Amino acid sequence: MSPFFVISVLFGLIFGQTASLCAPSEYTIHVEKRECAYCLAINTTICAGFCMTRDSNGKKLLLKSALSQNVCTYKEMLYRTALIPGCPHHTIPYYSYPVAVSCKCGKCNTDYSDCVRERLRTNYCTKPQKL
Amino acid sequence: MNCYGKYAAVTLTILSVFLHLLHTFPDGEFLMQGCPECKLGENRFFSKPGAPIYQCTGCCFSRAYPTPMRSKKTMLVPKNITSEATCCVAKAFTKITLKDNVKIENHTDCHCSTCYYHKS
Repeated sequence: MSPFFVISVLFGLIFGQTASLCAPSEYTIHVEKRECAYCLAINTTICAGFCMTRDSNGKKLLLKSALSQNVCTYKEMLYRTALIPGCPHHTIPYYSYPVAVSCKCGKCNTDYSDCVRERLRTNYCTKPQKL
Repeated sequence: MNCYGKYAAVTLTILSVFLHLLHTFPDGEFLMQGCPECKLGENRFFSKPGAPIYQCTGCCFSRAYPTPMRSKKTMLVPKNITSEATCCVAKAFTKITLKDNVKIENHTDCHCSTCYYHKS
């Protein structure tokens, strides 16, 4: 394949990708279990950013499928498992969480997502973190 | 022939990039500095000379992250991911009746607020 052609394709792919601001972002989640002594802070990657939406002037004229709104969500993800410190032997000390590999402006999938406008802040530690 | 092939390949690639961008932004909005803010824009489909109809269009913030354990315990059906989203919607509007008794909204103010048509 001609190098000139490859460079042109790469240019197109790069230029297309930089047009959207919905992208993987650094995020810290705090995990603790009632039975375990410590709280665990995990640095992970989530999807965050801006997506284009519009409000139809004629909502009653269109089908619901035509009134689609896109939000920033996971495109590809993988699951990682972390060990929560200070757990007794009878407790499962592992915690699995999704890590964003890539993101997209798309629909919120209700099969595995809780689609809300805003959630009360519950991502914090009440127990000490093990240093 | 090889030279013409190269030119054809480059031309096709540039054309596909532009088509991709046009498809992503059907009203011709190109994101030179990121997403355009949520604001009023003229809806050319409904507008008539001297009687413009405005529509709220633009970008709003949303994010998806692992559901905190504390929140998961309160869910009837626990979900691994929480998606917090806002969409560009009309904050205020007036009702307009077009020909054939068709009723539409003419948006007068916009904001990023609750999404209603984002679930699949």
